[in-house]
Amino acid sequence: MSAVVAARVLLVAAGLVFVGVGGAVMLTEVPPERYLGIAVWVGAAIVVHDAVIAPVVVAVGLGAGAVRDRLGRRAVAVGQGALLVGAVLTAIALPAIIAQERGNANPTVLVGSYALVIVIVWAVVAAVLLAVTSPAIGRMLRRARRAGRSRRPARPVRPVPSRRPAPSGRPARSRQAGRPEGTERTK
Amino acid sequence: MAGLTERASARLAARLARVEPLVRGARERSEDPVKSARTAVVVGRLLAAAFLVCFATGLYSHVLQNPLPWLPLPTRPAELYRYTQGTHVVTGIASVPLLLAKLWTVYPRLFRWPPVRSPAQLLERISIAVLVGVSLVEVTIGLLNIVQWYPFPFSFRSTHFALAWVAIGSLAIHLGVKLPVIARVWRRPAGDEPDATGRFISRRAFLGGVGVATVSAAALTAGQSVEVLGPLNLLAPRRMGVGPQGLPVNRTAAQAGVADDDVADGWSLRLITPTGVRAFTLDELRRMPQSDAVLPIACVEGWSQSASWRGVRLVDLLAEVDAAPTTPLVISSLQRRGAFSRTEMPPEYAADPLTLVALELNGGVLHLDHGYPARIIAPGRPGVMQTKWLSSIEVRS
Repeated sequence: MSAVVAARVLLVAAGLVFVGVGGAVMLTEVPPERYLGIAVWVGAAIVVHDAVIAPVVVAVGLGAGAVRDRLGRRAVAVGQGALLVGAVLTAIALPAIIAQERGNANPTVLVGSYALVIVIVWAVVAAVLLAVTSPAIGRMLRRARRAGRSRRPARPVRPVPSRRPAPSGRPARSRQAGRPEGTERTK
Repeated sequence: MAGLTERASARLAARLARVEPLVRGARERSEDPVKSARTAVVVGRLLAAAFLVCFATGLYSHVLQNPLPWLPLPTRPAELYRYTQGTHVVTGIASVPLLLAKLWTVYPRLFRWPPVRSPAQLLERISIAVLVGVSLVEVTIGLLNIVQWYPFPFSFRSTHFALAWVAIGSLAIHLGVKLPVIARVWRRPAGDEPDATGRFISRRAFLGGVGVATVSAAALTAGQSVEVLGPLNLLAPRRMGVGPQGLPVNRTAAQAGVADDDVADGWSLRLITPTGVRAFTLDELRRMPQSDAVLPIACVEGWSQSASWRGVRLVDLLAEVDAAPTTPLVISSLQRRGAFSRTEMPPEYAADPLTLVALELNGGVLHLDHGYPARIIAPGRPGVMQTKWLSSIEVRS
């Protein structure tokens, strides 16, 4: 038996033992009338993630892909990173915000200004998004103004006009494919 | 009969034919070259480490609250539980972005077609469902518990403990199933570069974003147990220094059902031994030799803070009634509500010279919310075991 096969057998066997212990704890320490509620929560967690959270994230990614050529890869990456940080901090603060709203008889718990912090977090995220999209918006406005001044209503539409040699199509991939080992871009 | 099953299977095939393009479309939209085995392994490694840290520290916390008769528990370092439980909660919070990132990398696999090819694959998909569902629930109810909000229809402690075993077990099974894939990634084959570029984002940018989210989640909450991060503590439920006498409390006197009458002048602490009962009034306790100890209150909810305590050493008090701690002491409180009105203290804590029947905190008489007239403070124990509003200490033979 090879080392990998032995490790796999060991891991699966140990995993079954641990799941068994969990089941035993469930049988001895949790009253049976609670089982249904636990099963519903586990099932609901899967549904909420797979049918709500993940599709929203996929949609955001598709949206980012749609504007990538206009904004540039780095701007999209920074914008997505800002959205990710904002979403994670919101997820962590949400229980505190709701629990604070519900009230607690203990004045030493939930002492922060969680809702305010999250508003500030999203203000920062919005500022980052504005900063990464503003060059493209500026370009668009300038183009519109120029088009207005030239008084030529039927100006031919050029695909993705810009002064900089902005990335278009899927340049990074092809660039990377032909890149020799050890010359990765530093970010 | 045969016609019936044929018709049923034909109808099923028609249904599946309608579903298949939807599933394939969902897969195409959610797929991305960045969501490769390597990315899944990189994030999975961090998440597995976080889960193992949570499991080990959680197990330790559970053993402290439910001591095993044959297992001696460490009383030093006095701040040990502070570190383990603070780590448990900070790591649990940090695992929120890691778990979501791991699920992001493998989400297209949900839309495999056909959904199941063999009984073995069915078992694997079930084990993945268990791992995903239980992991999400563990993290969620952990977050809810530290803000003391209980919208779930089961008890936190026993469920969190039972599901932790299931989560770690199904994680081990998952690792066993995926080991060939993991081994292939570790051997760094060609075909998936270290910084593969996806449709939307490169792997480095993705991992960088997950890293920033993880670090900021931990940094903005760890200040409730790590002093140097106090100024960054914007999102944790507790704040150091906020509470009576500059110390948070887990449960106030009003919440515990302790009335002023219970702790009025007639109060006394009863020491029950096999040979009899002796009551100590507050004045008698104050006249005994007083000792100082700097010990933390370290809550199971993750927050902790060090404080200066003054009172009678428990060993001295036991010596007054000619008792030595060889078996667990039974410590009772005046509190009427809560699961910890009666706790057991293993002899190693009772024998430790740092363990006090505390009468003062940070230079003043104990505040009622901190357990006036007298409370237990021992090194290395969870806050819920540091019994407040003492009524009796029983030494068994």
